[in-house]
Amino acid sequence: MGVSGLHRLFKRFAFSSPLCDRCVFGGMKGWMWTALAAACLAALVGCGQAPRPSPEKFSAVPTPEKPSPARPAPAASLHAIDPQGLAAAVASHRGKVVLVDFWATWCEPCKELFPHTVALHRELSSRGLAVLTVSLDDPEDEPQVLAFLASQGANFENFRADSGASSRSAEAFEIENGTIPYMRLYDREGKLRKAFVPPFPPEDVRKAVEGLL
Amino acid sequence: MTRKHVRPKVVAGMIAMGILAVLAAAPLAASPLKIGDAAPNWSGLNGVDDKQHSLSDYEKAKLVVVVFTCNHCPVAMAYEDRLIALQKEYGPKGVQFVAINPNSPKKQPQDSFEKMKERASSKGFNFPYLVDATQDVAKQYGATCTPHIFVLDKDRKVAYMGAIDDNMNASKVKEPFLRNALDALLQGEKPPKAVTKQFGCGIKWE
Repeated sequence: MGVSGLHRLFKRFAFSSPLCDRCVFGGMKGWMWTALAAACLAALVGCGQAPRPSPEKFSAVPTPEKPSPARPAPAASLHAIDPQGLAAAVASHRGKVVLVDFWATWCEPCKELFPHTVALHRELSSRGLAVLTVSLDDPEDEPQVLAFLASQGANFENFRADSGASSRSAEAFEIENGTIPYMRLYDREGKLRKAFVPPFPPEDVRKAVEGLL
Repeated sequence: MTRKHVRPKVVAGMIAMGILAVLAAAPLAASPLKIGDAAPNWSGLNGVDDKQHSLSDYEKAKLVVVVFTCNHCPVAMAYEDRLIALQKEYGPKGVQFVAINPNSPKKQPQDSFEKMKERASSKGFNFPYLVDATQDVAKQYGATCTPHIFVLDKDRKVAYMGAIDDNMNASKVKEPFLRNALDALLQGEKPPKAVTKQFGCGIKWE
């Protein structure tokens, strides 16, 4: 399941990640790298996802980077998501433990808790933890959402609830008590194992995650 | 060794006591009200006017809107102007709004009684703003967040509960749940939606 997870991960990020990883392209000759660098660059420019690391990275034989957790840097816009979309995102990580963090820029306790989520991802993604976040913010507040995510180094999949800062979001995503921070934890089979309703100590989340890994 | 000597009667007694303890503790948990339930009463809650308030103070009102709210929460603050406008519009129709702050000032100093007075004064609250110092009222209503709304009908039964409307940003509201409920109830009808999902900051329990 680790292999299929990696495969999916690669498929998803091969053309948006600066890490055209040597272990994947190990058999390639020098001219192939040049061609690939050009293709990668074209894809980057095409998707408007600059700024990215300089193209020199691709022209030389790439030095091996630390194996991913290094996901792409937070994107320039957020995908607005509904509960079905979130279910699909969770399912795409089948084989991993998935933590979903519901938060918002207006929610101070959420922002206080966020570094804990980032730390969990940093420390435990290599053991099979995937993190998704859903912000309950309106579309106009997306710049603040993105700025906060960037400031936190939130290098995982970040979404915005399509119904925004609204009772409708709390209802649609079945957020217990109608209040955030709220977290859901799924096991490697994609089964919901625990929901964290505030107030909860961050250590509880870590313990639960480690228990499932 | 000692376990052998524990008598069955003692074991039964312990089990019975355990069950009793669970039963006794149950009402302390947030027991969600249902539509049509009698509204939990309250009395002797201090208001920012330095007077004590009871639910029975408003017995002339056709409808009472109980708003669990507070000072510090951005969602609660976003709704203050809407609550003031609703009280102004619906007051003459016989609707009384009552704001109750259930938050522990130990957990959230911004929600202290003094800060409540400041907030009520600076915003010009046109409804009572009470402190639920024991948090018992919030527990009895099953309030979970601020703002969390409960509309009581003329018999003081719960007729609506949940959110004020469907967006924190007033300019983006598509469905004013509370307004719709009040309009229906004032006409002797049932609210189009009697329960909506409450939305806000979690109550800061002791």
